[in-house]
Amino acid sequence: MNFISFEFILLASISFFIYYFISSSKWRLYWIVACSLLFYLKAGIFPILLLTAVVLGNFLAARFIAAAPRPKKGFFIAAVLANVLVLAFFKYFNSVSSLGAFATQAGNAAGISLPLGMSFYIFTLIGYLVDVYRRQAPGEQNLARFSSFILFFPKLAQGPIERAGRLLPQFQRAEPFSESGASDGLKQIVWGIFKKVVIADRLGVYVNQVYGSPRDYSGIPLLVATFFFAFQIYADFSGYTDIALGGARLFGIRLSPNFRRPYLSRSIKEFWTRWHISLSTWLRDYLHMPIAFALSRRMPGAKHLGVQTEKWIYLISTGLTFFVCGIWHGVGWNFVVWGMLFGVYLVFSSWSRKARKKVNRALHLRRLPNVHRLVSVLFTFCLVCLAWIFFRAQSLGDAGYVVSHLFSGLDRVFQLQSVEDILMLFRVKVKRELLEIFISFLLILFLIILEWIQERKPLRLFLRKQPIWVHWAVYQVFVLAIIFFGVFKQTSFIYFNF
Amino acid sequence: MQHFIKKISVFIILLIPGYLFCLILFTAGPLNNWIPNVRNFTGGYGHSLVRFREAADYQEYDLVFIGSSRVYRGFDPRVFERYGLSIFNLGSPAQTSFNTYYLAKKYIDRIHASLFVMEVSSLADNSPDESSIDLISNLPFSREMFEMGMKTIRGKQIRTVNSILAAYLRRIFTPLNKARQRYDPENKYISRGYVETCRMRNVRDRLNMIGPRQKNIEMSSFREILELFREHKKPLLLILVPLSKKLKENTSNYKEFVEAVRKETRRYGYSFIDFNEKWSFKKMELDDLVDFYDGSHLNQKGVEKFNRFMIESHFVKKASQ
Repeated sequence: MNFISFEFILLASISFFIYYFISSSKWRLYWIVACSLLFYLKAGIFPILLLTAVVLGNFLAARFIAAAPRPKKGFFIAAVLANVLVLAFFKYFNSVSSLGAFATQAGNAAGISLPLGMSFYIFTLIGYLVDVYRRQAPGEQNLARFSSFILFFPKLAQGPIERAGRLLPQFQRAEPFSESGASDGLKQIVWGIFKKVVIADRLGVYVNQVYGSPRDYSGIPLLVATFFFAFQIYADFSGYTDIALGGARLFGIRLSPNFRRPYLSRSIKEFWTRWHISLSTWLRDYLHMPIAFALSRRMPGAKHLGVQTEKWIYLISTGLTFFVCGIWHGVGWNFVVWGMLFGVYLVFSSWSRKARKKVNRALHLRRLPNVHRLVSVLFTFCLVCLAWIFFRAQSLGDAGYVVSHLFSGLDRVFQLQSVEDILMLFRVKVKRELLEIFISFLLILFLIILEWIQERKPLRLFLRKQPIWVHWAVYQVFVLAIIFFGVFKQTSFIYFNF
Repeated sequence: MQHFIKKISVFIILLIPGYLFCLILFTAGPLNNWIPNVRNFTGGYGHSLVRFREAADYQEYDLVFIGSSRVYRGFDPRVFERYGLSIFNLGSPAQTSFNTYYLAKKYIDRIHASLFVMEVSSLADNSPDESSIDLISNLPFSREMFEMGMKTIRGKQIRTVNSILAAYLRRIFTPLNKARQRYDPENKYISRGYVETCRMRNVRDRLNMIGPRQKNIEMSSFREILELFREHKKPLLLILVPLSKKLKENTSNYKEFVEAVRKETRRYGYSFIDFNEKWSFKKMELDDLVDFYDGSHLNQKGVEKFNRFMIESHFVKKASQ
């Protein structure tokens, strides 16, 4: 079920009102599970049965691991592998090139396609199993509470990938209705919808046009579409997250924030602490760190092949982590390159730290902290945009074409003489499409300014201190902006595909 | 909880005047034409404003054509006049059978025609929104248009709802008789509803943009139109205007569509002519790159060829017989 739909608004409203009429915490859990299954019903009967089986299997496995007096390593590895295999089967069966057309036909015939949200709930479950195995979380004894933790409908489709330690305790108590919590939740939902339909989907119009057949374009259209995509995917995914977080707040549940103004990062390392935080911390805690620890035990010497061991460890663990991050997003080689590119960025930035410090000193950038900050932010943004090309392109070939034609024919910018020339420059047919591009730039500027202010001062807190008519007026403006500037044609979220 | 519900209700109630205020601001103010979800078609480039002003003169014609832009860009009154035939083009941009039904209902007894000719290629195209907004923006207020507007709004895109409401609001500030037709160098209005395409564009590029497509063979509104003409005992001819070869090739169910139209037409006892049949296309000597403006619209050269062929093979012959 899509968040930007009448069905979802109806489901969320009914489930919200009935939730607070139920006083018993036990029945509230049953109600959440029922609503979540209803939300998931749109995906089909088979995905629901699969989801139920996976949840039940992991519930029993975690109880078994928790009940054992000594860690059952073999059983734990088997349980994690089972989850990975389920995900791999549904995510990659149709696409494995060695199986080719047969796989696709067989997959289609058997209805094998990735069920909605599977990548997210399988990662939540694996994280939970690891926490239970490490004795960092108790094995949950109550099936309804465990099901609510996994199935809770605001986060089921696209995360955040929650940790048991944070979310499970919140389902233990029946919180009374909090008016401030609910109205904060609603405000966050409005902001999320604004980001999705006004910003992301408007940018998506031009991005889809150009990236739909990138070989028909070169220069400015490719540059603009790539720039737009960087903000489209951010507004789309963070818009979803805001709706999820706001929806959860209505039920008195606080989900983990997933974004913290990522395009204001000064380095790629910082970017990954601000972008898709629940995934990056998951990868750090359950993949990167264990690999690094395992390697450090197996590589005792100070140097290997003339390179410090810790550098080797960082290289291998980062490379593997971003390889997994890439294939988690999709099957194509473009996703692998996207992940590996971030791995290369991180390794290079780690290895070149001393050299960069020297350059900064030589350029006296320390004396100009704001300039230094701006340059770092812009440079990081450009690197991220380069990676997004591989993420958005439909194939590695298309991505290669985009990268190699990004700057071709830029001299045409200096030869503009009429509106017709501008139309040709952006490769659009009518002035209205040009107006849409102009509005898209304004929306990006608006988002950047808002994020920049938010970085210094939390706007929501600032608004709360203002008289009621001020923040009501602000939210009225947002709702009206959705009505007058929203795009309601492409309401599917980008991350629904993952 | 009660207080919270009260607050939400007040917020929603306050939103209504805010919404109307914005609609007025975006409709009557300088922001007109700048807001993506409020489309202003009054005096738009389909020239519906002048066309329907002219249609209000209740003249008698030999032929009245009804349909989409393929009609008002496809039948040149000057060519017909050379053969002693008077015609009128009654159409709006992207008009579907849903819109045609309401337009026909409004004009069937007001315009006197020896023969009504309905163009069917866009009868099953998906969305009637664009034509509804155009017709409501450019036609005087009437029961038929109001009914069409209400049916278009029901469960539709916010943009359509905004645009239709704005079209009504605009009347308050600028009555229709004072509204001005916008002119652009690409389109020239010729009396009796025809819009001449003045500028040649790169047809090859436009043809290359045509991807695979499928016609939606949904005939309920089409049947309503045929029923309406039968009820009013008006003569009706159904035609399919020439489309580019590229468009036909890319429409996977083109043959099924034509068959479905032919079957329905026959059931109601009306005639149907498909000008895309190989022999007529060949006789007209139409060429995708020379005679078309884009995949589905003829340019002036193509219009003249097509109109001459149509008159000589179907009307002059019959008149002389």
